[in-house]
Amino acid sequence: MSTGSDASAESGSGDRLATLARDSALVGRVRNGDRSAFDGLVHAYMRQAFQLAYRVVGHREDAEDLVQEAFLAAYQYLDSFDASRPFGPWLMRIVLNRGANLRRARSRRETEPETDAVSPLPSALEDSERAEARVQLASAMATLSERQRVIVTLFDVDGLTSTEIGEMLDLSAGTVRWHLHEARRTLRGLLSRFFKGDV
Amino acid sequence: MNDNDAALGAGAFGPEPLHDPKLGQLLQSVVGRVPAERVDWSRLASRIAGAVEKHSAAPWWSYAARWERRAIPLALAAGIAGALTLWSTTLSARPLLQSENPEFMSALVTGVPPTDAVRSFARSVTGTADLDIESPQ
Repeated sequence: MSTGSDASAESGSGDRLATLARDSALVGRVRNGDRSAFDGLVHAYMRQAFQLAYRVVGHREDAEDLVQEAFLAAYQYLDSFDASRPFGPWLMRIVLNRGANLRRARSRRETEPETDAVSPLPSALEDSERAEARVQLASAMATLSERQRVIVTLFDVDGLTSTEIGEMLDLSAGTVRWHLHEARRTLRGLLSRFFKGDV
Repeated sequence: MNDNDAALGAGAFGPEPLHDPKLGQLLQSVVGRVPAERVDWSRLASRIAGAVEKHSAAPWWSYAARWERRAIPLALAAGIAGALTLWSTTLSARPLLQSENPEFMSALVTGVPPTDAVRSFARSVTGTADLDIESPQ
């Protein structure tokens, strides 16, 4: 008799196998010259790639450019892709690597998030504290590694689970949890005044 | 177990951590939320398809570039083989060209081979001392 979590794990494993089979078939068709099959991969991973790209570059238009660039690179180097492995994490790795380069190259450009995408700070904070808090938060985030910054954001802002993030970044859930733990510890240490009573 | 091991254990091997709403709200004030609703997905898909199509219609030199890893060593090998062949041919032809047969060279230049020059050349090639060559009339 299987428990609910066993059933859920089996279902997740079944989904992964189905995704793997679908991606493998699409990649095979593209390699055989059927360029339209690549559209299937684009539609399957475009949103996830945009989410990660936005988390890396912090700007919508840059994120769209990055997604396009990553898919084009994936198409160009499809011959080097191991079709026995899932396509998504391979693509996300391209997004992450190229995004880090793009971030460095465009460091002069304004990287503040778009205003309508930002939620106000907790209402308990006075106005005068808000600006200071933003500066402290931004500098605290800057102390994290690229991977930790992305992981803590995907987990605590976007609400993804460690398993989902692991699948996205081709990491084990345990490794994701370790990076999350380290990122949170760093942030809470640097922002202790905002966590009085929580730690 | 040192501090790092303890930290790794607490982070990696513990249960799935709970989402931290306070940290999430603080972070969101800096990084914002993903503006997925502002993306025109069909336009983005078309842009990607266009970029892929443009890449597929690549100019001939991009195919040349794709083959350069194999083509350059092959070209080098062919060049070396050609040079060696040319060198060995030149070596075997050297007696014809060198000035050790001045009469032959002179005959070659003037276009009118004197009998002696022909004999001298034929001797140098065949190694035979007495040749039965008729003089031209």
